[in-house]
Formats: sequence, C-alpha cells, structure tokens
Amino acid sequence: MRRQEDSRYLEASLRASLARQPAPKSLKPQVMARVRAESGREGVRTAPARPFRRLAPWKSWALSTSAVAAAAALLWGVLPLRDTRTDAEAVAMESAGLELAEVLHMAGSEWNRAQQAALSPIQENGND
Amino acid sequence: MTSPRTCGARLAAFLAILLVGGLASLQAQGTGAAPEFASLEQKADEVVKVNLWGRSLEQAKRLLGLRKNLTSPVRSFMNGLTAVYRRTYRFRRAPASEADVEPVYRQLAEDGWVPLIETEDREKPESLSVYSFYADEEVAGMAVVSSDPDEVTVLKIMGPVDFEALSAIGSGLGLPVMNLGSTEIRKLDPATAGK
Repeated sequence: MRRQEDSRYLEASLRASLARQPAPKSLKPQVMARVRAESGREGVRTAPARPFRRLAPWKSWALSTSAVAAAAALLWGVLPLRDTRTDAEAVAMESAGLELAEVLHMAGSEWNRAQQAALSPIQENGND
Repeated sequence: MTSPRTCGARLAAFLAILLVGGLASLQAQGTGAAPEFASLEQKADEVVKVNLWGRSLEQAKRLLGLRKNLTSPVRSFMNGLTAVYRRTYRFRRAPASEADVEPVYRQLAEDGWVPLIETEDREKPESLSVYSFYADEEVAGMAVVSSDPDEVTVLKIMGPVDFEALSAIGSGLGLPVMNLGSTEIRKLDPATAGK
C-alpha cells in the first residue's frame, strides 16, 4: 500500500515538474497540454488575445468597402442639401433685391409725379 | 460732497432721459411697423405685400449694391434704409371708395406722419399723397399713398431719405431696374395672373 502511494506521489510530482518546465521539443503541444491539464495546476493554456492581430483578407476588404460606402452616402446626402440651401438663399436674395428695386422705383416715380403735380399750378400761374 | 438735493436732481434727470428715450423708441417702433389695413385687405381682390427689413433687406441691399451703374447718392441712400414695406390692393368686383382709403390716412396721421404733398384729381377719383416722418428734426422715413378706384398702394420707406436720390431712382437713373414685374407675377393668384 505504501509502495503504491509512493508511486502515485512520484507520478504526480513528475507531472507537476513537467508542467512547470518549458515544453521539451520532443513532446507535441497536445501532449504537453494534456499533461498540464492532468496536473491540475494551470489547465490547458490558450493563446493570448492579440488585439491588433492581422485581419483576414475578406474582413479587411469588407471593412474598407463599408467605410467607402458610408463616406459616399454621407457626401451624397449632405452635398445636395447644401446646394439646395444655397440655391434657396440665392433665390430669396434675388427676390428681395428685385422687390427693393421695385419699391424704390415706385416710390421715386410717385415722388416725381407728386412734385410735378404740386409744381404744375405754380408753373401755369407763372405762364399766365 | 454732493448734497441729497443734487443727487435727487441727477436721478430725476436720468429718469427723464430714460423716459424720453423709451417714448422715442416706442414712437419709432410704431412708425416703423409694417402697415396693415384689414378693411382694404378684406375688400380687395388681389393683395401684394412686400416686407423688407432685417436680413432680407440686407440681402436686397447687397444684391443691388453689386450693380455697376449704381450712383453714389443712390448707394448711400439705399444703405441707410432700415425697413421697406409695400401694400397694393387691387379691386375688380367693387371699386375702392374714399371711405376705403380713409383708414390709411388716419393711421399715418396717428403714427405721426406729416403730409408733404397731397394731390387730388378733380376730374378723376385719383389721389396721391407723400408723407414724411421726422426724428430729431431729420427725415427718418417717407410714405406714399396712391389711390384710384382700381388700386390702392401704400409704400413705407424707413431710414434717412435722400429725396434727390429717390427722384433719380424714379426717373430710371441711378438704379437701373430690370424685370420689374417678375416679383409680382409670382405673388398673383394663378387663376388671375393671366387676366
């Protein structure tokens, strides 16, 4: 019984020391992982996360295409609006300019007419 | 040391200045307001309204200022304008009577406008009146009321008025005007525009 216990203890300590040490080249990674799992110390090691890892070609293509599409949609949506607003402002400005010219012209011609009407009796009297 | 009496006098003078300023401001606002004649508008078959002040007036001035053959007095007169209004009422079904135009004269008189020239045709029911408004003994605006049975027009121009420049504009000098009818055509009722 004691000998059995001793052999188990030896096996466990061997596994533990194997798990602590770097993997021997002769052992395949799968075997080493199993050893580590069985030793119950670290479990199976997984590859560390790499945030800047290189994307798959199809993913980078899809990302760049969607970025270009978004930019095109933005330009397509915003630029015509700006053009429309500029056009509306130009029309409003032209309309306001014509109206001002029209009112000033009317006021000026009425002022001239009123002056003529006011002066004509005097002129007629002067001629008499 | 200032005595309480001096302080009181100063305070009274300050309050008086505030009061006079406030009254002047109220009067200016009253005369500078857009003219509205509900009875004429109700009776008219066609109404043309032009309100130019603030941004729209600045835009109009900027546009007209671009014209090459704008004379200096006209440019100066135009830049001094603060508001321009036009009301034209056209009558086809029932002609406008003197009683219809009466509220226009009454409102102008109430607002402190002074008649400058009033003309009336004895043979035809036509009249033309030019009013001016004074602020600090200077002409701060002019109004024109012309009426005949078919049409009543009220023009109100606020700002320092240069009558010589205005006369030049009326003669077609200083401010050459093209496509005059274009603004009005858009305002007409489509059903009546072709008539």
